[in-house]
Amino acid sequence: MSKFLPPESFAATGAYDLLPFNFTRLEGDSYLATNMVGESLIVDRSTLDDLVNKRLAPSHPSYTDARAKHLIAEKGDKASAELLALKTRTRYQRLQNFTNLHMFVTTLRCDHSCQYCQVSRQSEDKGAFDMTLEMADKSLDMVFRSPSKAVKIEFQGGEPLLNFDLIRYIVSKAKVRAAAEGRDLEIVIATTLSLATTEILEYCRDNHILLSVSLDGPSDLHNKNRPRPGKDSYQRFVANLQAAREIVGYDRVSALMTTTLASLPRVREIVDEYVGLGFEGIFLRALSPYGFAVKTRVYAAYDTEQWLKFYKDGLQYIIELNQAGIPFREYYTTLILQKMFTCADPGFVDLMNPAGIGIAAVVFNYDGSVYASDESRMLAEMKDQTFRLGSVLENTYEEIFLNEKLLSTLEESFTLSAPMCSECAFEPFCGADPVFSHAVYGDVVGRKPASDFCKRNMAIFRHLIQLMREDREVEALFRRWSALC
Amino acid sequence: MLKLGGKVIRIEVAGGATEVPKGDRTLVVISTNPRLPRSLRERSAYLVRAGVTEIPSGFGHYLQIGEAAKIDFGELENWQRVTSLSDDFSYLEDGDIIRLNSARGEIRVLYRKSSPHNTIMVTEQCQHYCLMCSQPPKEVDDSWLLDEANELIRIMPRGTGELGFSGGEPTLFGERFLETLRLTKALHPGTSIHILSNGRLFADRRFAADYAQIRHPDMMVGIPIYSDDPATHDYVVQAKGAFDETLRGILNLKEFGQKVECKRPAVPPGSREVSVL
Repeated sequence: MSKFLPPESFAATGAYDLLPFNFTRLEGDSYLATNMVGESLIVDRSTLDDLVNKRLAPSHPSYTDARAKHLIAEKGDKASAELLALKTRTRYQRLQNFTNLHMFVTTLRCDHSCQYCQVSRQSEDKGAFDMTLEMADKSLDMVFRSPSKAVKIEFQGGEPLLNFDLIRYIVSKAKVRAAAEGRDLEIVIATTLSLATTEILEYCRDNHILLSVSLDGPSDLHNKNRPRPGKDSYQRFVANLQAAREIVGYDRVSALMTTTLASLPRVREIVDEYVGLGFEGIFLRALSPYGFAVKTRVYAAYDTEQWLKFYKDGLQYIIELNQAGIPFREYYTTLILQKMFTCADPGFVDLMNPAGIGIAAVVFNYDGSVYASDESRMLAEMKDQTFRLGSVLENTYEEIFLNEKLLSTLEESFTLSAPMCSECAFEPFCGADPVFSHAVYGDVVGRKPASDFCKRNMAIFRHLIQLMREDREVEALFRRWSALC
Repeated sequence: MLKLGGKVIRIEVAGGATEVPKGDRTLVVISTNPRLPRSLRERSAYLVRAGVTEIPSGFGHYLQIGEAAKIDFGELENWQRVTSLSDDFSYLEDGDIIRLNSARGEIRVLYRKSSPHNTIMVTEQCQHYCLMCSQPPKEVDDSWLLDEANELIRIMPRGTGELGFSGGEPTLFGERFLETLRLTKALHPGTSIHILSNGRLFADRRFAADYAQIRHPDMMVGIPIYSDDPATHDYVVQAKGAFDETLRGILNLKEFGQKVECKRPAVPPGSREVSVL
């Protein structure tokens, strides 16, 4: 007589309670159910009906999935609620670190005159558009008030290399303070590289500075998007990219692109350009509705539908490249996949909840103003000072970071309580972007059915799920993307 | 043994031009991927194996093994060169890098992607004249080899596990050799570096310090010592004072926290071997 009992002795009983989850129809008869930690399940309508009415048979495969993913708990299951709590804590753990990314606008001056740029100035007037030493000192004081053990400083512009002396000043001070306080310091310069010299690059190498550079596509497109005297933006970029990789390091240089009307029919060429220059991925970005982009009607030049077509076509091409043995990733997709497959939040400022403004990133502007995000200062350039949190010259840390407008915006836009977000099955994959909402619709919550943000992201979520359901190889590829950091 | 270099059967240049500029040397990465993105094709050489008839267009170079396949390259756009190779080179694979010397009709395989032990010979010059050297040094300015090494490093596939540098004596190039090491570290931060050297130049503290300043996380110098008796060592390498400099070089490297591997190769019969180190 064996001491072992048969599997039936341990089988699920079928007596269960529902744990909180949302659901939405995908296409046809398929429904997506998700809970607040991002666990998800796809079922047909009758299964969903049985599931919510507590009629689902324990022998049904979805029963096991729903139990394993904490959508239901059997009577007596006590670990489910605790695991939900743990995953929720994991999901929001970065909140306790408060501000991590500190952007310094060292100058608004720039050697480029891009139509879509929100802020830059063609000016030799250093006094009017450069950050002063006093502002830099006061801003650093704010940076080191952050409770975060890891501090990231990103130099923005304008073209920050036009005020490189100030960068040196801030870097040397920040390094001393970070070392004294035992903090990890990461420094990034966002630059077109057009003014990079060997001396600057060696400085970046010696101080472990990362470079975030701009590449919009093939030569003609890049030069059209990014005019500068001499019309040689692309040529300078390619030469200086190689120099930057050889001096600072291959993996220390990443690129960002901006999508303009001229980019829309050319996504495959743009991806090819990135592959040809040896990048391992691309961030297919939509144009922001701010600054000169609105004034010059560049933003209005294309709508969400057109951008989605661009994105989907680009993603399709990237999948084809991977199938042809060329490893390459799309980074926006990767961020979303991380949210879909893990309970860790990648912390992308434009797609997180609570919104990233002020608490994930903050901007110290050239004139001493502090803004809740990069978009907030762009809005300010259009005379909308809504998200100006204060000034490093006049306000204390408390006055800036406990700013009433910031706190109320964070609360009102919180997706687990915002109307239509809180019951949306895509909520765990999404985020709040109150500045976008304010800029376009005039209030920080916005009406979701009319929101381009909502439309764009929902379409992407649906598209990614569909791609994975249609092709297991794509799902395997997407899982690999989400696992790489 | 694989044949790593030799004559090609034929080089055909686009437009029917037969004159090739003298000293024309090209490094090309081999591709066997017919779906390679356009932006990578121009600087790649597509390898056509015997019997293959469908050939993707747009590659800068084409290599064909044997001439069995009669392919009309004239139909393809943009190509510059078609090189026919003997069956000896049929082992070539995707990601391998070769040097083509069109003027001399020569090929040299410089890098094999599937090999864990790729070594670049950066010079044939050496201060030693070892009794058993299989590759006796030459007194010529061959700094083009170092230039070529830099070019190879620039196009070498990412993810190479280890890269070796040997000679001759690679450190004879001094600061220029350190530049090559810095370049390797910048472009291939995950690649281990192994340098085969007699170590004598590291007796110069300044040079050893500059070397250490590269701060590579995984770089080692392999240095042969033939005996614990200076006279024997100097005899084997045929250079008076070599032992003393090599030992001081090793001590400097260790003082700066560098990885050193002392090698004790086989020595000619009758020599006193290393007993205590």
